[in-house]
Amino acid sequence: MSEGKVRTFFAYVDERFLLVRAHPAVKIVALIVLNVVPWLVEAPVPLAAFLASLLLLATVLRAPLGKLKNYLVYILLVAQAVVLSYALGSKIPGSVAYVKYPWGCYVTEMTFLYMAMVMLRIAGMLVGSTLIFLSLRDVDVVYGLKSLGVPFAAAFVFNLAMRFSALFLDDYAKVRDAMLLKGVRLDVGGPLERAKLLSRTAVPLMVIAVRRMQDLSFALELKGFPPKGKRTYIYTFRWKLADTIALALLIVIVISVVALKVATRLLSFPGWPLV
Amino acid sequence: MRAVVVEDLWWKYRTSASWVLKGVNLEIDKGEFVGIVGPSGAGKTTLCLLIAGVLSKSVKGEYKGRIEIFGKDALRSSLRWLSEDVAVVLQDADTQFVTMKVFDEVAFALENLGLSREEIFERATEALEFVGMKGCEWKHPHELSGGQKQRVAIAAALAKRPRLLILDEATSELDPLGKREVLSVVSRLREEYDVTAVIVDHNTDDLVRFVDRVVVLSDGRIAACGDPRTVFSQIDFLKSVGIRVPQPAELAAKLGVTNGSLPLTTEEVLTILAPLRGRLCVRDDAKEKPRNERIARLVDVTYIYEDGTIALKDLNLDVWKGEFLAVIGPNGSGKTTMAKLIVALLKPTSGRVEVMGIDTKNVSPSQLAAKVGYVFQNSDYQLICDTVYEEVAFPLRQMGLNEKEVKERVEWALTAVGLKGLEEVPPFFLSKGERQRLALASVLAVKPQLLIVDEPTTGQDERNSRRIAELLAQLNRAGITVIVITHDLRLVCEYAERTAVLNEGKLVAVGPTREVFEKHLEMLISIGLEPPPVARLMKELVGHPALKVDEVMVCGRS
Amino acid sequence: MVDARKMAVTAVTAGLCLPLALFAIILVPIPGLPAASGFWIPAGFYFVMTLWFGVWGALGGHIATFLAMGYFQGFTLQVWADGALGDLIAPLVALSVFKLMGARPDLRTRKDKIAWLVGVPLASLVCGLWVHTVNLYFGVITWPFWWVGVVTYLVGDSLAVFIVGTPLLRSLTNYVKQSPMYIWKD
Repeated sequence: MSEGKVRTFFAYVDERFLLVRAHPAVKIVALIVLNVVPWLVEAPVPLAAFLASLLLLATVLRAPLGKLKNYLVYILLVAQAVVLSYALGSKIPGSVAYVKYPWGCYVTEMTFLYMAMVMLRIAGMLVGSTLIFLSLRDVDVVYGLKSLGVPFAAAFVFNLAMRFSALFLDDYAKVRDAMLLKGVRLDVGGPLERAKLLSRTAVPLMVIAVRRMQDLSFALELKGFPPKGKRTYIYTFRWKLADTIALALLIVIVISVVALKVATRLLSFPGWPLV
Repeated sequence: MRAVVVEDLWWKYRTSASWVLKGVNLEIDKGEFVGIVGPSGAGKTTLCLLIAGVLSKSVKGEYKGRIEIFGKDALRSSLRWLSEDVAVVLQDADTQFVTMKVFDEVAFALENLGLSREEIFERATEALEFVGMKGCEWKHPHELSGGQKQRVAIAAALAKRPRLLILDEATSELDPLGKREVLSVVSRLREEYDVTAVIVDHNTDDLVRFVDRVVVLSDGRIAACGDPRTVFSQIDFLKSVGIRVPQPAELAAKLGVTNGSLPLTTEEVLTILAPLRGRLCVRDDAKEKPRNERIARLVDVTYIYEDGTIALKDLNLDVWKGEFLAVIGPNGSGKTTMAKLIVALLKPTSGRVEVMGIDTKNVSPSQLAAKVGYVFQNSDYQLICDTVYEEVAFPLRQMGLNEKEVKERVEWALTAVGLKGLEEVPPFFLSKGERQRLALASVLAVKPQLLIVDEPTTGQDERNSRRIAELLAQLNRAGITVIVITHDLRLVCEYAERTAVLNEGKLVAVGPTREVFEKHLEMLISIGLEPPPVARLMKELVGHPALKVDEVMVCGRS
Repeated sequence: MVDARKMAVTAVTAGLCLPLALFAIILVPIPGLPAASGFWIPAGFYFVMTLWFGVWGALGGHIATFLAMGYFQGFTLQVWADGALGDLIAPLVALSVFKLMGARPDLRTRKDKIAWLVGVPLASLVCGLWVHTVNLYFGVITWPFWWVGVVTYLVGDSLAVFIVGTPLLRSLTNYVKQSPMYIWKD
């Protein structure tokens, strides 16, 4: 492990990133809240405020926001999809109709606002999730889910999946090498032909997977897992005042958003319900 | 109280037609170290997993008889109750590593037992120190070698403070250094913790140094049981069952020298043969083949992986047409990397690799497939078709051969490897040895001029190992150039005419096998390789290594 | 109740499908569609795992899809709700078809083959409907594009499952029957 660095879901992050020290349960709840809030909110201005707050929070917490660069391509592709969808296939009433199509759809100034709202929503979820995942260590997922009432055995499967994906990555490379050594050319032929050849790799991979399944189940049972009685957990997470404050804040945010959405139109898209 | 009592045990899997274990009776005393040997399919793993209590509860089958572990009924007691006393280390180091860090792995079973945190930390730390993994607590599994992973597995088992430790072929995938590390740890366990240990292994040369008793399992029955000296003295019997005879015993038997019973270790034979020092000689019948045509060459080859690891550095090696070349070296020395460069799976970072005059930088592996065959260590990666026939036919069809020629070549290849008659069987229903031979057949059918085989005998029993080795020798005699990558130096000595030794990515020795063992025996030992006992013995006694027991003779009076 | 065998099925399925899902997104992207794949290779695997081992195989596929899609799109509610949940529902639909028809995954009898030929497109259709309805709900697409999405999902997923899954079921079901985790009683 690099000095001053903590290994999290994505890679090593600076241990000065404050969120790393939060209780796993808080991280899991935060992950849910930071996705539910933008999902519930449909007004562009509150969404923009939400996104700005997240970015400010990330800065204050010293989050390695550089990771967001990895999603730039995805954001551009989503934007492209959103623009295409709404430009050609929406009917959002506004004061000025810029384009009207024979099939009944049209583009108004509110169409652009709606596109912006959707992008802000996606961006908000993305930034929120990334912020949390940057702080998630492998123990956080398991222990976080456990502290929220998920049985440890079920939570532990997540850990096992990550462990085995590395093994299968290696297996896939070997199977692919074996195919090449049998004279298989994966750079010639049509897509369907290549897909069929590639699908041949499925057989050895699956055989290896089924064998591993049996061995893994033996290994788990021999280690006494899942335990029938009381289980000890070597990792303990002290619940701090900051965790209480964070959790309280998250709960308040969710309640406020739900209340505002139900009781007022502040969080709805201007002109909602749309005709 | 006995540690283990197995009484008239019969076991049949639900899907098998016949009984896998047939009336096994075995008693193991507390503190005893028992080795179980036997050919593949004898029922060794089944017996171990039944003793551990896991098989009868996880797998549908039928059983008769009883097993008691320190007085507990292993067949019917709960696994949790049994797991307090029993720990098992399995063959696959990767699959049994279920967590993401070394410390977590060792602590895992203790957490499941509900011990206190303090006790878990204490036991885990102690266990890691015992196996020599202190300082590696927070490493991830991908940062560890196979031997290290198995040591972690033993630490995890040890931390439970079991009364019975079972190692089911736990060393078969390790290099000689890794094997020795594991066995010496288990031996210390016995001395310091009075743990009863059962170990299943094919390597009898190592086993004899550690075990108190040997059980020979064959076709589901105990064919022999007793102290190692008694069991391994029955050389003809062991060979008939398909078990590797410790070479010291074989040598002593051949020379007709014993000390009341056959010696089992190099040291014992040395003592017995010392008086014959002046009369012993080594017969060398090998005729060096003329070197006239190069089939492959590596010129100043360096290969650096993406993560910066230097796998090979300035390697220069010629491979001559028609030779049987062995490539040996400790784990991580670059053997498999070298093989992958020859078949163009990898391209050299610098330098040049030529195969039959073709620079591999300019060809893909598929283009070389008709000329060079490669058999993986684990043949399961290579078997992709529904039947044995299709498996062998597949590469031939890729080459564009007509069906008549495909059929002829398939028949020839299957006959060569001894799988004729199994054409319609799905490959994954074959035994491990048969799958290895099938992978070889699918490569042979293409009629390559150069054949590379990676660790063909690892994890195989003696019978299969011999069969594969003889097959390779036969192919070599028929004109195919063979390169074998292996840790099995007995195989090297018996079959390879030339040997190349790699260490840390460099070629440290190359030449006729006898010459390599003559000039570099100490170096081979120092880099963690395990020369056959007869080589070390004869080097010590007469100054020249013998490559096989047959080469050693009593020549005349001194 | 979760036991070691079920955990092993889910973990190994997820472990197997995750790298394949990453490859599928990288190797066969759909131009213009974010983190989508024209040939969803892992579907062939988790469909088959579900047919052999039940809901635990489907859970494995679900985890793999969420992690793979999340790697490219972020681990958001939208990603979980559309692709990941869809890939949990789809193999279960196929499994339900087999159970309702009394078919078996070895594709030996006519009934088995019909169940496969019907179950896979039906499952892909249900999955496509789910995924794009969720996308609609999140506002990522509009109604006219909903149909496009559903049809491409139906075709793309079914193709991958048929091409990858069919040889697996035909070749390996007899082998897998020996496993104690196999859910069908012959």
